[in-house]
Amino acid sequence: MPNYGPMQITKNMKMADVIHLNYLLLNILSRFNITLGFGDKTVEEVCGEHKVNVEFFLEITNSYHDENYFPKKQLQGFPVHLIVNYLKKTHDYYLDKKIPEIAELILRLTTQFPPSTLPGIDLLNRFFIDYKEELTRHIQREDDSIMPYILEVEQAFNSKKLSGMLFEKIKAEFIEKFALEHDNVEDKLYDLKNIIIKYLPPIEDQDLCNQIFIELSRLERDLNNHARIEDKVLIPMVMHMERKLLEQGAYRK
Amino acid sequence: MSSLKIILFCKSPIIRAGVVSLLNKLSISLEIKTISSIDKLGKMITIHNPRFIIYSSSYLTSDNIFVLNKNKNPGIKYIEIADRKNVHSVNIQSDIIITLDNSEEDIINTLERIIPENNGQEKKNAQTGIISDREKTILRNVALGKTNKEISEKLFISPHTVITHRKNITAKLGIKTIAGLTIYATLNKIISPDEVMRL
Repeated sequence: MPNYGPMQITKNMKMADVIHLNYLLLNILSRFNITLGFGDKTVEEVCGEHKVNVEFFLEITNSYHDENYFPKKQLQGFPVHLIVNYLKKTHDYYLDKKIPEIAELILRLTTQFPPSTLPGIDLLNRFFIDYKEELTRHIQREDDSIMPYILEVEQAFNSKKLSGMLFEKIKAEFIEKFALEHDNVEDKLYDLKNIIIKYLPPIEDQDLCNQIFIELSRLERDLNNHARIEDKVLIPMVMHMERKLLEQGAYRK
Repeated sequence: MSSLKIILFCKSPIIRAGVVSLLNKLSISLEIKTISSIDKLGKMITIHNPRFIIYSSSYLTSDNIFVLNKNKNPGIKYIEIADRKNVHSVNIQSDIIITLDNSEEDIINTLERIIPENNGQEKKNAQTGIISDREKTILRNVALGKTNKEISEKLFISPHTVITHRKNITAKLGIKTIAGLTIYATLNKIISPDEVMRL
């Protein structure tokens, strides 16, 4: 089928051109520890210098760049720990960078209204603090319990040795339960966007509102992409390894 | 204004014509695509992007059912036309079932219940985002932290009605979460900030 989507990113493109093509990909670079100043080097060269698996980098950037590009198959060919590392970096980016930035902007926004003119405007700060806690809980659960489990499964899969404890966890459908409970962390962002453009009285500094809206939209999109990788790639990979491990009878008493 | 997109899949020309004529009795603008062969269904779903698929269950077999299941999309509602009640050759999870021995009135009521925005004024409000007084009352109670059950008992309405109101409020305002609705209610003085216990 012909592809009418956006231009695909390839390893022979200049890294600078990739960023010109979609500047939002700048966010991805830092998750791979790729620094700026790449001159005229190609994607492949830059990745090589930073010891980044170029094929993996391309799959991630392309799926981020074009929502319809989703090469489940290709991504599923990579070692799980590459994906886990990438996802963890993304988690840090949300919690350490994006969320505090947006919280700061919202605080600035709420001080634009004298409390007497718009009672309840303070609730907007509380709303975002609550959101931050919700997202933190969500991420901590993944970092502290799901990701170590996934790495354990990968290790067992590679060594074909399954410990009794891991065997019990697989039997108890640990990952299936996680997949079922993997909750949506984007609804509140959507609500906040509507509150800002539809329901807040206009303020003089409209740029501030614009900025918040843009930041929320980017975060929303990023979270969306992130969740797709978790739900559509990572979890199926883990389930596949679990099945193989059980089939192989890798656990022996 | 965009009209409601429907795919009608049924082999029998008599049933197809009958369903179209009944659908046209609803006071909504509709865009109906009819198809007689299941082979075209998958493609049609992609192109037409329907909100509803109406299908006759009598032509579904275990061999072709996968087309419907594969394309089962949470955004699409399925209306099944069955010969008689409780007789399904193959089971897929339809949202609602119409049987051939239903009366015209029954069918229209059923369709009106599942197909939203059938009332002209409601449609206008849904677009302008104006919420009714009743919805304001519901919203106030939601913002106060009341559960659906508590609201239904307080207002003497069924929990189902509370849920319908809440869905309509969310659709009109574009706000999904209780915390978001609470902020809206405060900004619009439906509830005072002091009354907010938790977001």
